[in-house]
Amino acid sequence: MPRDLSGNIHRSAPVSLMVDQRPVQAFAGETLATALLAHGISAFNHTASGQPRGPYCNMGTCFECQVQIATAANTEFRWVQACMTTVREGMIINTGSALLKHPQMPGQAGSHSDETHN
Amino acid sequence: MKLTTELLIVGAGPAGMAAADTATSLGIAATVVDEHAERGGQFLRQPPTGFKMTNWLPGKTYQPAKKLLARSQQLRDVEWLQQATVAGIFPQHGGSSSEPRFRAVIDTEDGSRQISARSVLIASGCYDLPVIFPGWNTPGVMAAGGIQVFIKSQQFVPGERILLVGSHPLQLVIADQIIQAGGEVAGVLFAQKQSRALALFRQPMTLFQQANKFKQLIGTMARLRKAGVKVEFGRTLVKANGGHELHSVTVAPLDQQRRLIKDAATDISCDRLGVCFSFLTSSELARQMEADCVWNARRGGWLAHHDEWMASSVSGLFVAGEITGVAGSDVAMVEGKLAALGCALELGKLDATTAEQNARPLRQQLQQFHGFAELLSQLSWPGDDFFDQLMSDDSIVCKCEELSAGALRKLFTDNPNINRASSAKLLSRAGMGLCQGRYCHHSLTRLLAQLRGMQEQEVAGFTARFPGKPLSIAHLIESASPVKPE
Amino acid sequence: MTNFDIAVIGGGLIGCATACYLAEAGASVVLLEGGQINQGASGQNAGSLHFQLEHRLIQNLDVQLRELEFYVGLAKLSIQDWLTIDSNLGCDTQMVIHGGLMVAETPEQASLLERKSAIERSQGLSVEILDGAEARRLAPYLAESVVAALHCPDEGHCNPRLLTPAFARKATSYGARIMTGTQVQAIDRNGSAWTVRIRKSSPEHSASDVAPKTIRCQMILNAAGAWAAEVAALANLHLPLFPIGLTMNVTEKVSPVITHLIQHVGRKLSLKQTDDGNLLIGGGWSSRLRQKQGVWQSQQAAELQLDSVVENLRTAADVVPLVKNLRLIRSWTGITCITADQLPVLGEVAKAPGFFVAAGGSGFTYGPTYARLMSELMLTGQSSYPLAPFSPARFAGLNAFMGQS
Repeated sequence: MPRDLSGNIHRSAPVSLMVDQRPVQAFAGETLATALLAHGISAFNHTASGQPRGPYCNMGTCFECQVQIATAANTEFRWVQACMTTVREGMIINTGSALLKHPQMPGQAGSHSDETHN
Repeated sequence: MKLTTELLIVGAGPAGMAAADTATSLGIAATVVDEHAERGGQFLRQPPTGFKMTNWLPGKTYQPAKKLLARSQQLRDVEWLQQATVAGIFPQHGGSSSEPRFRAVIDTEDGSRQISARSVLIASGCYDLPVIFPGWNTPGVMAAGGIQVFIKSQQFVPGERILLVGSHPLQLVIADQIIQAGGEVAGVLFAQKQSRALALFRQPMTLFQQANKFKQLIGTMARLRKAGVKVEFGRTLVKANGGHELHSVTVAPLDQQRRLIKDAATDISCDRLGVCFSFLTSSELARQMEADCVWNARRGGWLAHHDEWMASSVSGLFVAGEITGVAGSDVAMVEGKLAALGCALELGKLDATTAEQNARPLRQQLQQFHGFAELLSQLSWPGDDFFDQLMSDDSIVCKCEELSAGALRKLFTDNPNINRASSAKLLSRAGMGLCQGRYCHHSLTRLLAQLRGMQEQEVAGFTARFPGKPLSIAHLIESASPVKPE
Repeated sequence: MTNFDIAVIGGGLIGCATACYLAEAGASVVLLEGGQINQGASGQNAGSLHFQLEHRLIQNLDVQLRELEFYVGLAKLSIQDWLTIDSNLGCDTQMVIHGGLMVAETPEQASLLERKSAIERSQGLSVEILDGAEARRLAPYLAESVVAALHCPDEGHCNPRLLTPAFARKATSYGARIMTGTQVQAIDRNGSAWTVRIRKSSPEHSASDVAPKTIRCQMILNAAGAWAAEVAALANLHLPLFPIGLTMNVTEKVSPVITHLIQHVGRKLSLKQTDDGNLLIGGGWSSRLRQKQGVWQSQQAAELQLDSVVENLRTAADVVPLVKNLRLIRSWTGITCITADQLPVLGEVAKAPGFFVAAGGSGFTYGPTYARLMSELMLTGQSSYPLAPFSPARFAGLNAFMGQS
């Protein structure tokens, strides 16, 4: 999607991101929502039943635009609202998830899901 | 971040900025907390620093707020905390009359802090009314205001072909902004008949008082006509199509009783839909603090009650701007000033006579501005029960928990004793997700009210709970209390 | 209709479940609830099915030994009731028995686990002590700080949002009449019967008949939970049941990882993962009852205390470190009741024949069992498990001068 067609704006420094292990170019000051949409990514996360979801309110109230970004350790992720998060050089982003990725959560730790349901 | 403040202002939009401006002139030290990267609220949504722009937000309607924004840069004794969320505000019991009355949890990317405040002003604004219809969760469907933010703030056109559907004239302004940014507008559809939508133009008094607004609207209409944008009336949403990505929207005309004529439905191809009917107040913090609120869907849902000094029902808590009733930036700025006066009066920093003298002209302005806002609201509101017909059985009412209207109707039919929104939430999970009911409380209220034959006000609402937005537990447990333990 | 065999006061778990059992046995039952079904502690609690002795019960271990033995005996009965609950109710209440772990982080706490396990084992509850490494093999999400844990395979959880409404529906299907938005104003003896004066507290739009103003019945069950003492006072009776404000927290959803009910022997903690994936965190952290000039404002919710939320979450994160990575979605308060000796009050008040009480004492975990036993007691004069240790008779002195002539 083209960023801007009016010729009215001069953007500042380019910023490199990794989105789903692929490089994406953004500009300093942009939100993750802008960067991802501009790159053609429309589904930022999935619901529990697998429905894709993308930005709705673009102002931090709906939580539809959540993506996971790696923490400093790069082994853990946290959810952020893409529309409220400014891009930063080297950010590592995962889209398409429904639940938080964490080293202690299945399927790394092995499945303990043989619960007895009556 | 200061650990204690005299006046904590939640929101740096027109109301918050105006309050900070007045507060500082009255000798009140204020801390303003705002979630966005830049000041200005939804109304201004400044572009990021680093974007060099010519001609940002031209148009006289933005001038007063832009002036206020410029003045806010010069204020002393105001601490501005951007990209900070107030998760909750707790009353502090006991204490003398000069001690803090509130403890607030403020969360930023780096962590949470607890700060004390003597007084609080909530000026947290509003958000676009979520309208439930089949496919409204399809990526590509957005609140029209969200599209406007991409244009105004991010300088980005979020689609090849953008359709706007609703009932609020704001969608004309947004269409205009899309065109001026070089985008394509597939159409602007109003639910109302043309005569009603444009009735504003036929009100001479308001025309005179709101000259700038009308000049803007006339200019907008001219540009849209010139660009060949189809502005249509008496038509609205049936469904959004595309599954994982929007590719078209089905719309249909409305008959005299404002019912959809589904047989006459047509598809409009587009890759972005902006829904623009109305707004809901961001009243959660005020309700969490148990400030009295009144339900009025047309004016924004939960409206914070206040007296002539913008004081809420909670001692030391003031409210201003959209959360008192969605009425635009003019009203918000005046209410912010009035709230600061009220706060100063309550703190004993201003004598009653001076306060009254300063307040009188503000209240007169408010009367005038409220008149216009009320008119606009009446002409752009499609009707309390209009939205019921858009909500088909398979529409998702609670998007976070994926609960459809049909499933909810069945659940409530099977449990006839449930006739309050709070117990409906408990039984169904509606409102228990990340958005904390922001996107379903209106439609759930309507659904239950309709099913039970009750008034919306009787069904009441979800109890607002801490935290006001989902809060990092790591942050919360590291946040230190400003109050020394015994 | 204004005459019933039994009036049940309180639309929580015990009220709805007892109404259900009574109606199933053929009694004509009316259930009177001032607000909405499941509005009180029944719907606000953590849904734990905890059969080991909890933290609150072992604070005074030596003093309470005798009573605790009867309590643990009740546990075995209750486990059986839970195992058949879904089939009895004909719906899914998300009941699951997957085991519980009560953890210790210090040697002192570990020896407390040993002491209580002796009591539990002597009453036939299946428990085993695990050391830290064994506990983490069973539950890898536990912190390194856990030095021991008491494993009780019979513990689990059920969904409090679903359970009570299911009993209410079932009760209705057996012919019980449920009246919500209905407050009890007076309770009087009239010969051998009782009259209960009621008032609609809010507009009632689902009722098809006109609501009566007075109910006449042979028996009353006071199942009003936090308000049980207030209701008893309407009958001029004292009940040593005291309201306490508690706190619950719920996190965002995560993939299934917490496979046990986690409790702590020395700190206030209960932690579980629901079927939907959220973590429910509680354990007895206080919220503040509203007071006006020393009088509890019983119609208002308890006030959330920030420090309770923070310390509850800190405790949870200490024991299950991944909690720190999650977001808190919601905290809420609930008001439950405790008796003077921490055990339930179950039985008939001698001074007021026909006035029964069922309140206090882990009302969620034992609720369906209390309800079943109370229905037996009310209909036949006897119960299949001895309720005498829990009878109001142990507080009979309080009502020596009370009641109605």
